Amino acid sequence: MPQFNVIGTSPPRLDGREKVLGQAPFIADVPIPGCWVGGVVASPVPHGRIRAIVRDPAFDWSRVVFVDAASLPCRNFVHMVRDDFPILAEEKVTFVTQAVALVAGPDRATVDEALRHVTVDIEPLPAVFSVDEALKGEVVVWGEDNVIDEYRIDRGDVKKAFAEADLVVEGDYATGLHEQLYLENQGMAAIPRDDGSLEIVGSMQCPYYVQGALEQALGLAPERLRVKPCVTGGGFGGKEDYPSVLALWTAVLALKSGRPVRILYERGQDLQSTPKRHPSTTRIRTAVRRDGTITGLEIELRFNGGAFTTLSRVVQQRGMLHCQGAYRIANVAIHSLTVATNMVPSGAYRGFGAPQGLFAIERHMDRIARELALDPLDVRLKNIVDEGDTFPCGQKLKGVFARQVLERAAELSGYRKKRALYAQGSEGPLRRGIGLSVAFHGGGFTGSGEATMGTVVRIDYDGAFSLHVSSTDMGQGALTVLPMIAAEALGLRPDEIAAPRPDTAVCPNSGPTVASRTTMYVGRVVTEACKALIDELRTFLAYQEGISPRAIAFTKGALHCRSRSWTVAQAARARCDAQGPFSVEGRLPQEAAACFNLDRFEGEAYRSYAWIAQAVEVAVNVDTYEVKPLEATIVAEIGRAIHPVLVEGQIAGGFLQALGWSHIEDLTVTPEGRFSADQLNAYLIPTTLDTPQWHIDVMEEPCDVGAYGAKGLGELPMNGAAPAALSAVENATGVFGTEIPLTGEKLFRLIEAQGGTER
Amino acid sequence: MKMTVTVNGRKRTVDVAPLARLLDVLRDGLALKGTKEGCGDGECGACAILLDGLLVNACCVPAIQATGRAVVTIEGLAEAGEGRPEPDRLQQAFVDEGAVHCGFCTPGMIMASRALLEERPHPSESEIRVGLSGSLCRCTGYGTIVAAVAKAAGEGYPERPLPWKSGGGERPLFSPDEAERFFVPESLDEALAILHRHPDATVLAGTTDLLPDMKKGRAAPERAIDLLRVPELKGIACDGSVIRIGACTTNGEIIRSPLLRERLPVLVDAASHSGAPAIQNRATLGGNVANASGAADHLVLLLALGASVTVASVRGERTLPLEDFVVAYRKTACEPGELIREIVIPLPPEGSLQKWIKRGSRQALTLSRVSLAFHLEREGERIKVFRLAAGSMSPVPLRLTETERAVTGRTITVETARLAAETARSEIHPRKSPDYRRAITANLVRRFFEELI
Ligand SMILES: Cc1cc2nc3c(=O)[nH]c(=O)nc-3n(C[C@H](O)[C@H](O)[C@H](O)COP(=O)(O)OP(=O)(O)OC[C@H]3O[C@@H](n4cnc5c(N)ncnc54)[C@H](O)[C@@H]3O)c2cc1C
Ligand code: FES
Ligand code: FES
Repeated sequence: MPQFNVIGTSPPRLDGREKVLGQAPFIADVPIPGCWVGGVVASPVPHGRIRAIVRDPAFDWSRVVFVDAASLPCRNFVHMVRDDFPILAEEKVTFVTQAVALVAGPDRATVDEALRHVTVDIEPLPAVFSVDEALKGEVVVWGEDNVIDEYRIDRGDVKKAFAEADLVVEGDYATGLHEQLYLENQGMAAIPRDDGSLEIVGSMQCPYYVQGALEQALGLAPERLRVKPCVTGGGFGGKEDYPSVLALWTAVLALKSGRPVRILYERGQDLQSTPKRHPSTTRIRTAVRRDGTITGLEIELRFNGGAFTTLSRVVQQRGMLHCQGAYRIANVAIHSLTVATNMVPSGAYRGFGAPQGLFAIERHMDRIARELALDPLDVRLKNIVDEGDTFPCGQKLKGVFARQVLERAAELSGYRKKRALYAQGSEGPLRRGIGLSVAFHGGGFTGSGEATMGTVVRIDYDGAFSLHVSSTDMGQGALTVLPMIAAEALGLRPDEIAAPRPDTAVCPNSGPTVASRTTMYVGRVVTEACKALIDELRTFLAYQEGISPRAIAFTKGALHCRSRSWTVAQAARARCDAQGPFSVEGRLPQEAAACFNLDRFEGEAYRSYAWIAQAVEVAVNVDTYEVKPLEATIVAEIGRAIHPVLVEGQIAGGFLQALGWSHIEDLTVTPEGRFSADQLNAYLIPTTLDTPQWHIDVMEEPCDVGAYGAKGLGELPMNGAAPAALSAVENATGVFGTEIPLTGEKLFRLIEAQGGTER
Repeated sequence: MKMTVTVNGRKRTVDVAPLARLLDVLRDGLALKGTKEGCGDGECGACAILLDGLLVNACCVPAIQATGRAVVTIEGLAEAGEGRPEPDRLQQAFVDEGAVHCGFCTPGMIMASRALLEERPHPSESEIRVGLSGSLCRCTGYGTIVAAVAKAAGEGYPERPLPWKSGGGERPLFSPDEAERFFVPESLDEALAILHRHPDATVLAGTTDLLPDMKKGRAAPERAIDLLRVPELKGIACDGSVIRIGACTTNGEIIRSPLLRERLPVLVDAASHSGAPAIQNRATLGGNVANASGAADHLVLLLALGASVTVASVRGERTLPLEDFVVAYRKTACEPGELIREIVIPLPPEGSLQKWIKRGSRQALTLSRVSLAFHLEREGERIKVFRLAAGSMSPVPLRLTETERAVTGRTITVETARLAAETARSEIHPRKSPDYRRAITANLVRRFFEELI
């Protein structure tokens, strides 16, 4: 194993100090002199034709500015995957809370008063909220048939596999809405500057997405749009697309009023109007041999996209590319749809389509085991992918550790013994159960995304080093980890490299902070920038010493020629003294990006996959139908743990979100088209007492793409917790849950249908 | 009004509305932005601070009640460094253990940890989890946070107890208009006299129901009387065969009461499963009863305990059985000009049994989906007295009198358990998810008796 100085250590995170002191500036904390408050006139109905927007003359409208679609001073769309999402609804509204008009005024009370004096006269239209209803086509929400996107993968001879199967196992699975519940609500401010430029500050994951959306709609040059994320209080995908919407709203209001305008969401508004994880339904058919070998697989995966495309297309692609599970199956047919409904548009949430598909396939593996009276672990091991196997998209796999993580999780958790013991049942109301699953996640953008992204990272030296990226630190630790990578590459201490929060006027575009790409890809580009820095210094030293650059070597964190050596800091100082401050850039080498044919849905979907297996142990109270997670044993293979403490934090944090989704985070759409929760007591996330004991084991098998071998980690722990938890409930009670969240009430119905739990 | 409050050891005076949230006073009035708002409903703990040394959520405290008291915010924990604040040991432990991710929950989490360590310098892991159960974190999975608190405790933190546990006792200075509408009486007589003059005034106890209601626009008190400065409304005392608990006694005081731990542990149990620490330190028994909600946890237990309510007005006092006091959903027998003075609970006889069970939607900080309270007295093998109350299944909690009758006089057998369960099942009529709630009720009633066989 290579020796590192920085990689694998866990220095305190750089923003830790200001955060524990309560000094970290979140968007609600930033003083903005003369700032007005923005507010949104939101559609009260899920579907309808706007007849009129009526402003009550009883209110003095000169106290505020007011904007509707007709008076919008720019093009009316928010640039995302497709440009179908309007800044303000024009003729129709297609979801509850859709913005119809905007107001800004000097304070909250004035704005609230103004909002109370606007009525939107809407002719209601019939609305659809489920994929099945929407596919009937009687109500058209989007396009001609409500189908936002459709993809297929066909591999091998599925018909033949089913014809020759010993057994055909079928199942239907469903996952519910899932709210990111970043603890800091969405918030954004736009500040007009004297030179006609705009500054945008706020809570966000992707400063350049925000800049791009402003540029496209407002028609302003990017130099005149400066975007600066504040400290961001959690994102988890929820601050990937929506900040672009908020930025446009505040920008429009700022331009109209000539003043800074800030919109801070309250929790209720945030719950009601921002994108959630796509609800999904999955139908799986498998052709199975009696020994558990799967010879054929058919999957129909459907996402409820809500009213507009937002990020659905890419969510669906990722769902497609993970839904077959970590298995080697020769004959596969996958068909997926994203369907528009009159729900708030679904968006990005950690895992991005993968957790939905993996939930279904992992539960299905348990079903096969049940039907064949085999242990679920054995059925998995029978089919698990190994080095050199091929995924349905045609990708021949390298760096596969599915078997290793699965076997290790089973061993560390004592799975086999416990599974057998718990299946015997017990006296009293508490029944224990253990369940296990295996999952994976492709690091970085799907398909050729990283190749076309053009990730750039810059290092400046002006007496001190600073690292400039557009990645935001929303808690995951990006701005601690990236300088660690640079420090390792340059033989410096991490605290010798500043990593300021992004500012599009300063930082290059290293891409959005999404897709588990930051440590892996942006980190890799940081190492490329470091190489460029070394080259630059080598050239300078060679010139200074009058020797050939080739005569200068860089080893052990220092530059050496025959007679002298310099640390990178010394060499940079000398270069700066002689020639002034300087900068270098790094870019992603083409060979580090995957190459995929989206039209045929074929090729290398991701350059590397990270692997995870998890055993979850629960206690089910059969009197009250409560599920309490007790232990979680998680084995993750992530290439390289740059900062082990942050790695464990990501794993536990992500895993807990998935456990919450599996049984308590219950969000539905009411008949009126609203989300069922408008305050935190109606959307419950796990507390300390709903949290299991963590047993986290990290395996490191460096990949050849990411920084120092790192693979993508952020989303991985989201992918397999829910099916493992349901398998544990099955072990405890005998009932087979196919739908999450498996709330107490749903568990009750399953137990009733089974005729109780006495076995 | 002008409010004077001691914040992090310094006296500060600000102009605010009497019912302004302390959270806004701190953030906007005093520019202390370290205290965060994650929900404004008391549900996340991001706004947690210490008020007179106790953990509370600043979004649920009105300015009028914080006046004259001592507030400690996250900014107050830091040690004074050279020209800039330095993290104290606890804050540093959060950094060192990786307990800080996005940092939005961090200030509230650290305040909750400090409050816990003030009270329990060497908490067990499960005590840490309970102490932090009202502080939500979406990033970390809590493991590192629990470790950070344990680390600080292991290092002997806090070296010194918190210096700022009481304020200067200042009273709010109202504007002439406010003086007609807001009142801070300091004795029961004064409170009753004001209430007599302004029978429409809202009385303020812990405001954990009231402030979230105001935020939702469900309440907008024109006039209000703060009850928290009235000493007669506080206190827990054993008086012959009854326990008297002042209406403004908080769940926190109930939990910490040695008397109740010994004589009425079931009430301590209910109080500790209601809300979470920051809510418990504010929520009062009187407020829970006055609110007359179907999901009010104490109401259920008090019904089974056979409690009564003493109300007071300038005309004097009267005591009613709780059943008669709670008239309908959100409606009590309090007449205009009356307030709840105390709750009177008969001391359970020696050898009797009380049990309280709550099924919420998660393990902490959750409203009951089903709650049940049992009181059982036996005579030899037979059931002499049995009271059973059920909550969250009707507009107000109910006694299940048919079930009580069905088993009274019987011996406790499997058959009795089954009979009680089935009678209870048919006796309740929950509006939402009826069969689910009936099943839970029946299971729990059956289990109660089966465990006694
Ligand atoms: C996050 C959170 C969690 C909660 N969890 C629970 C829970 O688990 N279980 C539960 O039962 N409740 C819970 N509650 C509700 C609330 O905390 C309790 O009902 C509490 O006991 C109310 O007391 P209070 O002193 O805060 O009432 P306040 O809000 O001060 O008052 C409530 C009402 O009662 C009136 N009132 C108060 N005192 C008197 C009096 N002495 N005489 C006459 N009228 C009076 C007030 O005018 C007001 O109308 C929760 C609340 C929050 C915010
Ligand atoms: S802001 Fe959430 S508890 Fe106060
Ligand atoms: S650190 Fe982000 S919510 Fe706790």
